[in-house]
Amino acid sequence: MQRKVYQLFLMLIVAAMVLGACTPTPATPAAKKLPAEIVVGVVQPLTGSFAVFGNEGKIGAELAVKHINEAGGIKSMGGLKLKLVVEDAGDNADSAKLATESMISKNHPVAILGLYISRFVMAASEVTDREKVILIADALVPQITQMGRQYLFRPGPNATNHGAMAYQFIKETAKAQNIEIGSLAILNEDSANGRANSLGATEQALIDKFPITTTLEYPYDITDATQIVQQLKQANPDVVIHTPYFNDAIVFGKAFKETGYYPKFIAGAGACGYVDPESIKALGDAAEGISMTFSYNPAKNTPQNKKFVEDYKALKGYIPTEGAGMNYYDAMVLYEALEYSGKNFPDDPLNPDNLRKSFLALDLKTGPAAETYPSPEIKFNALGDNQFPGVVVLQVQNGEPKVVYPPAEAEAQPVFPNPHYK
Amino acid sequence: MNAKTLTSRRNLFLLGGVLLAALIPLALGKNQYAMVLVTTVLLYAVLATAWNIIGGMAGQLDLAAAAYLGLGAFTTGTLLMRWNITPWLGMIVGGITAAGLAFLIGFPLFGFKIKELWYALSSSALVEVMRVLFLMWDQVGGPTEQYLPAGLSAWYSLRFNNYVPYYYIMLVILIAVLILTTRIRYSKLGYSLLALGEDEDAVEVLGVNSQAAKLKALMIYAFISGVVGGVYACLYGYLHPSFFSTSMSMEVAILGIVGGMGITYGPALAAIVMVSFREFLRANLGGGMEGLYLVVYAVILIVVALYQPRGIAPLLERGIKYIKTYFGELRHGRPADAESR
Amino acid sequence: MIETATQGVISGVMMGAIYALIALGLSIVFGVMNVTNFAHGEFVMLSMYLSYVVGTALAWDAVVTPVITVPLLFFFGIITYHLLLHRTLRQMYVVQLAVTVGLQILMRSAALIVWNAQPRALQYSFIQGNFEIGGFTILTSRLVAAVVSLLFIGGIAYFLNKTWAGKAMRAASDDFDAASLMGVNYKRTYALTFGIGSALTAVAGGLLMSFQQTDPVGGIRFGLLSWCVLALAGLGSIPGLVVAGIIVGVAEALTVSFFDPRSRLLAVYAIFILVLWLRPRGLFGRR
Repeated sequence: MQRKVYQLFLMLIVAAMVLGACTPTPATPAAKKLPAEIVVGVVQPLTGSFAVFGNEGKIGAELAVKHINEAGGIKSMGGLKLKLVVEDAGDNADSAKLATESMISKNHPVAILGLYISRFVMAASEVTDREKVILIADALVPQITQMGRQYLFRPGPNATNHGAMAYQFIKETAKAQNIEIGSLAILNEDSANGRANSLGATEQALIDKFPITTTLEYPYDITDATQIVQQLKQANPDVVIHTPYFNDAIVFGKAFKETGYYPKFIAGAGACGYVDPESIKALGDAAEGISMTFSYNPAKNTPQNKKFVEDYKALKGYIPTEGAGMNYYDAMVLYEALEYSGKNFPDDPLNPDNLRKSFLALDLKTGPAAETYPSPEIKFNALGDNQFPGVVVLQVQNGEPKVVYPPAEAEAQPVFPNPHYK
Repeated sequence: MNAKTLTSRRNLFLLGGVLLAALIPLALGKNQYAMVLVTTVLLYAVLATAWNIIGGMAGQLDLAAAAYLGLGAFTTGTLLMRWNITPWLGMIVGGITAAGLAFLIGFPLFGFKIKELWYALSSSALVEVMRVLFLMWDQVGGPTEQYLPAGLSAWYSLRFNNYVPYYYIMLVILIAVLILTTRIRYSKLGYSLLALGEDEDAVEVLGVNSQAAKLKALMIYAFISGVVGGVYACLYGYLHPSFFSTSMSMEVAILGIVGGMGITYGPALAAIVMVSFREFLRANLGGGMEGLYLVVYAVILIVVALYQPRGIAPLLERGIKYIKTYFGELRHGRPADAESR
Repeated sequence: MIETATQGVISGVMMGAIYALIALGLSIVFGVMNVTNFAHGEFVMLSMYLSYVVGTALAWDAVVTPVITVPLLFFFGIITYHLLLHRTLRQMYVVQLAVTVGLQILMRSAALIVWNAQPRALQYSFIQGNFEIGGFTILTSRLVAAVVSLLFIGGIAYFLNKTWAGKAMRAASDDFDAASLMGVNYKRTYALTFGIGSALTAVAGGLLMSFQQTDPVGGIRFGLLSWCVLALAGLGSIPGLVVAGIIVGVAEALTVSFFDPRSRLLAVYAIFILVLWLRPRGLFGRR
């Protein structure tokens, strides 16, 4: 009896393993002949804790591909169109890695856009570097470009840029409005992103010898922020630079209102929370006057950006946020690289090494990518970072997010100090 | 059938199974996605089989698999990063550390005649506690992920650029754990544990130290999980407190329960079926159904617990018996009971 | 330093009353039916989500939502009892654990699918605000929540001691067979007990939603909290629950003030393990 059981067991092992694999035949090597369309992959967290950003990123990429195809595809390759394929990275690095492997095995994309969370990007980039697929990352943590990956590019700014911008914004605005500020508190959630942003701000403050009265860290899933706000109150800084994730931003926003404590200004860093539509809805007037740094400028007055904002608004009912904007211009950068490759490597434009060279050769001041990017130029350094990272600052004014800094990109004047400040 | 016959027959078929499983990478090796999937299946199979020792045999509902796995992972990874100690050694140290944690938790809880409930409860919170502890512990990384270095050679630092070696390592571990579990089952410890499950007081009268037995089982299970954790860290190439995942722990416990508590091969079987199913769901429903596989798991668990508390494996054996009888009838054209005269 | 400590104690005491209310639901179920509801924390989580749904759909303030969520949770409890728990009463203990663990995972994952992992909060509540007493800030929402919790705890105590149904419940927990001889229908009593235990979480949930937020994994936190308070208090004493709740609340608050916001869970867990180890009967336990 046991014998039969074991035989069945063995058959089941084989069956289940083969079944579980459940994939088509392995990759054929990249052909030199051009395919019918260019496959571009999107791997983002579409479910789980980071789904908000992931879904917006996906839509940004989809709109970009739509616009590219409508404008004639990749003209240097005879008008070849792009095809977008999407995989869900889930909410942990295991599923992110699986999703990336799955994406590459099944679809053989020339490039992948993703994955928002730094450790997902790290897990995925191990795969993409091995398989020689370009990965255009939208994560903010600085370290991802310092790990020696050859096929990784990050057009967007990093967390250090964000933190530095938050500080600069406060400093310049206070000066412009003749308001004295003498001390700063740094507050962040305890992830790599939170710390990197705070570090960016701290570095700038140290250069100015600007006093930092306290640095506080907390877990992003905190449910009750009142005690930390009390600690802030005791430290009594003039301004606070806060790097939250979405939910804790709401908890803090409410805690400020509930305890009645407001410093002269609360500046957010790291692009999450406070100024996006969901957060404003949840916070009500507690969000008023709080600012946040963004990697994308929704108010940028260029034809391509206007088109993007319009289409996005028609789809979602509100203006594009960080995730959507970043992935839109990331996809546009890919478009520019493809055009370049088609022109300069006509024999084998989709070869990953040629594509890589194309990325490194880009110097974009005009075109759809530059028009949607929050700084005047996109040019990559050897590590894959943009040498001209752009960050803008949005502030909640009368329940609406407005771009208020830097002056060249702004659509409104900043309100300083915070309206709740007494 | 005594233990000896069982072992030799089992060995024969295990050998067959090993050969088959060893050939899998030859069929799938080029497909990295399939390889990582199959390796993940093996990983859960090991964890679930090890869980069986504390869950099926000692009858304790442990929900802290990831606590031991994570601790093993961090130990192995940190040893590699700080002092360049090879994970081959590191995973053993990881296992020992995990067993140490098990002792710390198990000692106060198993002694003093405290009901099993309290162990289960405290184990369910243990994973979260470990996660928070490691988030706060900046010296080993805190909330920032730590990436394992590629090191001198792939074999030294266990960092390969494809999954086949990991697959074989996990396969070897699985076989070792299956053999170990069988050995325990037919050892004094095993009989003590099974008897404990039935009537603890009676067993005590016979001179069995129930506290020691349960603690031993817990530590063995924790050791194995810790070793697996070491491999896990190398497989994914980084360390992060999110390794202490409550979801994973629950998944392992479900695999153990559904697979058939106390039956050796059951959890591994459950792992194969259910982990493949989970990936199938993720790949095909993608979208908004992330939590769906756990919902399905939970429903299966509830149904199994309510209607077939001994798990799926006995169901399987009964099913096979039924099939045999049915085909026996067909072949001989006589009713089955006439045959079994 | 003294200031911080006192502020911490004040908020800890108030939170402690709420924790006691949450633990009360568990105590009733565990004490009367000897049922381990692993999913108790998830019940709290569910009631918070229901408060969120009701509050958003009807534009109600969080504190008003229990009007709807309490009956909802009550029926949910009764259904859960009949569907799942009734069968487990005669089986091995592990079966009951497995079923309620399954329930826990089910509720957690279902919440993840329905509401996804982003935490949800309601609009600023009308009971939110603050006032100062002697240099210390008292948050009105916490105070209201604490007072309401104590009122409900008192109400349940009255119910258990003075009403027939309540006395039936207590009798059933003490001596089951004797109670049925006296005319207590155990199935109905048990279902009622579980229903009440669940309904109490809805009260706490509504109160908590006025100043907190909910996420699918919050169940673990509340579960640990409930069991810790219960273990510390021991079975059979309701005032004991309040004291235990306050101890845990204060310990939590002080740990956060002086140590690290993340360590709040550690404080609770440490208390839990210590109690199990050193005094499993609890501080006020009857048995």
